[in-house]
Amino acid sequence: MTKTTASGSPKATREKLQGQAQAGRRTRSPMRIWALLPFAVFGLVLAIYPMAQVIRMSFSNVKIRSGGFEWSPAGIANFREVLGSGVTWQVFGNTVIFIVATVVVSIIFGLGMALLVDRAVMMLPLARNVLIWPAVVAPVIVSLMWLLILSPTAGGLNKLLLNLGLPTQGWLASKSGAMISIIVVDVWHWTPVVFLFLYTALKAIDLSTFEAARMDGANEFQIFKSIILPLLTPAIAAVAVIRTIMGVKAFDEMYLLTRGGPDFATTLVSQQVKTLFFDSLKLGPGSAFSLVVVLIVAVSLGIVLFVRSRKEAQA
Amino acid sequence: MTTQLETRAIVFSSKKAGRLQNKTQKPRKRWVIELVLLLVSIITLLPIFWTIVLAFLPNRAIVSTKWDFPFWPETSRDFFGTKCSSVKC
Repeated sequence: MTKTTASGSPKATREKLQGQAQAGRRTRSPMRIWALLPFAVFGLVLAIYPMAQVIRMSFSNVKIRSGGFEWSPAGIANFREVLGSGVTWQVFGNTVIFIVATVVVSIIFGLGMALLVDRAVMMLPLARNVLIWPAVVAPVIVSLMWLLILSPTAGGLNKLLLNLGLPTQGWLASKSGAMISIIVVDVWHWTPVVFLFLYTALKAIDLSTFEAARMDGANEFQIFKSIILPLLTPAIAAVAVIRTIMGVKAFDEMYLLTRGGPDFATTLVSQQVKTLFFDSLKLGPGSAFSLVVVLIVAVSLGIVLFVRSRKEAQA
Repeated sequence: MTTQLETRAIVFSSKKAGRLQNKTQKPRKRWVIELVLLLVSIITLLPIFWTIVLAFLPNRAIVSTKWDFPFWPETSRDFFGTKCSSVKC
């Protein structure tokens, strides 16, 4: 009995695993290299080569001539052109507003929905299914559905306002209206993902924790503030990172609803890259813009993950 | 040593405790939560429902500013191929 306990102790297990790892490192089996080869090839072809091309392109003056690229060095001229343009900063501003709004609102709604579903009895089977439906609808169909609601001429919302005797609004025509509209559409489409994450995390909390708190006289708000919220923080942080990445990549709904307008009011980074690359065929500035976006996202996420790991280490 | 009477009393009290436990563990229906969740579900489904409604309206009614919904199954009938669809032909 004592022997089993000693061998099963965390220290013994750790030593055993370290020994196995060292033994594994010492083994120079040729199979290991072959096993790693597919990953290395995939990484090289799908990540490193395109990235290297984008970096090269961003420091070059690239023209398409007779079906091929014609390269000439440009130094930092592309970066100067991109960062000196007012549209670039407007696009960055739009993207920041879009990301902050969609992340915050979808987390608030997702958390609220998770708490409601967790406490529901009668509506539980229906709501648990219905609330994730928007996430399974294709983005093109989502755009079409919301266009049929928000359109100034054929939209259901203006039709409703008109029949109620209220003035109609140009939901997608004004700058602020268009931005609010695309935020609403994105929140409607992707809050179910947040809800799924947070509901799963909520279900993983041990019920005895709530029972103990109730026996100690805690009310529902105190339970939420002191138990649910701290225990859900890792899930909220993870979902915030995922939604931020989704916000940076957002393209289809905005493009189909507003085409980035009016007057660049809803142009986000993905659409600007598309405009520079494919519409204007400005390959150098397009690459420079992409590189700046990649760097900003990588640095921001790096800082967030570093701060989180520091906090976890302190805890 | 417990007597037969004491044993019966223990069994009775444990059954009663079990019943009480079941009673306390049964989830309570909170009508406000149920109603809010119903409302949230309806709001979530509204755009999908609106698209389904429009699928059964003629084009004129879709672009009209009037609030009328004449049932028009021709679009769906066209789409599902009982007649030659304008898209397919």
